Amino acid sequence: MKVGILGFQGAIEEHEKILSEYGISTIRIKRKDDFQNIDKLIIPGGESTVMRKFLIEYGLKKLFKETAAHIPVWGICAGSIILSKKVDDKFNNLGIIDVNIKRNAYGRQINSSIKNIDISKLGISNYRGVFIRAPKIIGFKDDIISLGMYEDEHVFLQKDNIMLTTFHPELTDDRRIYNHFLSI
Amino acid sequence: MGSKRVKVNKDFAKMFKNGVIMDVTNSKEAKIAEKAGACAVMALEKVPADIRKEGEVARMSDVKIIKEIMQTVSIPVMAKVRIGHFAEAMILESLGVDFIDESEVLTPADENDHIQKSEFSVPFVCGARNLGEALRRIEEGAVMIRTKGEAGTGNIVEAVKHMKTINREIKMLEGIDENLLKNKASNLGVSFELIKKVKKIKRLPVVNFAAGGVATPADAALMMLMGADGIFVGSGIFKSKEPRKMAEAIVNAVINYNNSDILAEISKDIGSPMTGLEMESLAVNLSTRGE
Repeated sequence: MKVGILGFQGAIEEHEKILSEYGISTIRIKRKDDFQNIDKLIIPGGESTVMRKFLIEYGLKKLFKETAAHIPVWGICAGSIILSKKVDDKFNNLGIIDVNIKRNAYGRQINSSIKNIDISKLGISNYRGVFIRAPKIIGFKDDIISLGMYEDEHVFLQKDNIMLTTFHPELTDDRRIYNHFLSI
Repeated sequence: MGSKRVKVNKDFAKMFKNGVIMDVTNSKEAKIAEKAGACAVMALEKVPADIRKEGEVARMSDVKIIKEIMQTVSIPVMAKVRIGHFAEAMILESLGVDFIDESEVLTPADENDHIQKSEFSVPFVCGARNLGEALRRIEEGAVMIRTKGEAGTGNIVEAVKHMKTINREIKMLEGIDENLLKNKASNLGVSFELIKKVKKIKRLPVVNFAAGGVATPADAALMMLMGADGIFVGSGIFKSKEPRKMAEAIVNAVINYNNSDILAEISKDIGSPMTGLEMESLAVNLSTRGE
């Protein structure tokens, strides 16, 4: 199996390290050729404005959307913004899932925190999610399944092959979210 | 500061990796930086090249300007405080800036001590020329390190020296036994636990950026190739002939640092970089401030 990680900016190496523990090879996706022969795709945490800019400027928009629609894709924090069709109530032309997401909704870095998340739908208990200048999911279509909650907020969504987490599983030693993604 | 706070701050720094953080002095420059693909901006009163020219005391930026920058861009906003000036840091923390740079580029407020950064909730980045400086700053609570380089010169030589020194000193820990490691820790004025960790993971335990002298896309690529996690650009952008082009070119160079064909393409027609200075011609060496 080969996992592509969008390689423009952000916490890329963290995923590479973890996936290598599973014996899975990775490739940093920066141009068209990189999309060939990948089985899964990760859009990492980092700055969504930077990823967005270069996906478009490097002419990858169409290929990115086509690929993401067909193979398992996981967006983390900034990555979940890239994949959502609505960002801050505006249409996002890179989006592939009917989610309305609000950037930096918890505030600035001072409001970043580690929270207990309820992922009982996947049989995962006592999960601690790292939220960093996280976006907030403010709406999504009925056919999307909410897999994780922090209090009354949805922080983990999935529809078929598309998965979003507004928290960062790559920053903890807990591998249960990876196990789930790799099983899709 | 609780251990959760430390973790979430260290983790935040990881989100800047493979990115470019740009010095800006007002909201207009901040917008240009954001559009060019900066992953964060650093607010300061004057870019280092101007601080160097004027020879006046350089302080934290005007709060009004920092606030305007925070309202203008959606990317994280950092700001600089003087070494040891914890009151400036308290002000920036209350403003809600995302990161504080306790920086040798500003005039130091305390010749002996740095800020006790662990007492703050807001994360700090500090400059370092060698492993000892880096580890002392980390023990004080810095969650991100950058080379000091020699800011405002457009000369990459010092940043190269500092990056190589830190890499070499980490490499040299490999062969040494526990007793020598204890000596080393006490010589550097850091805890045994911290240096043991560095030996084990073979790198600094926090994100490590290059800074101080980056003036061209090639400079940025050079520092990435030497193992920097990302790049700070100070005067290099807004002291160049065409800041927009230069800013984009430097971000592109960080994305493609290991592809020389693309670097060649990026380095074409980007306008003159800032004027560089030889180290021998400098009246003040900023990098020797705060050891």
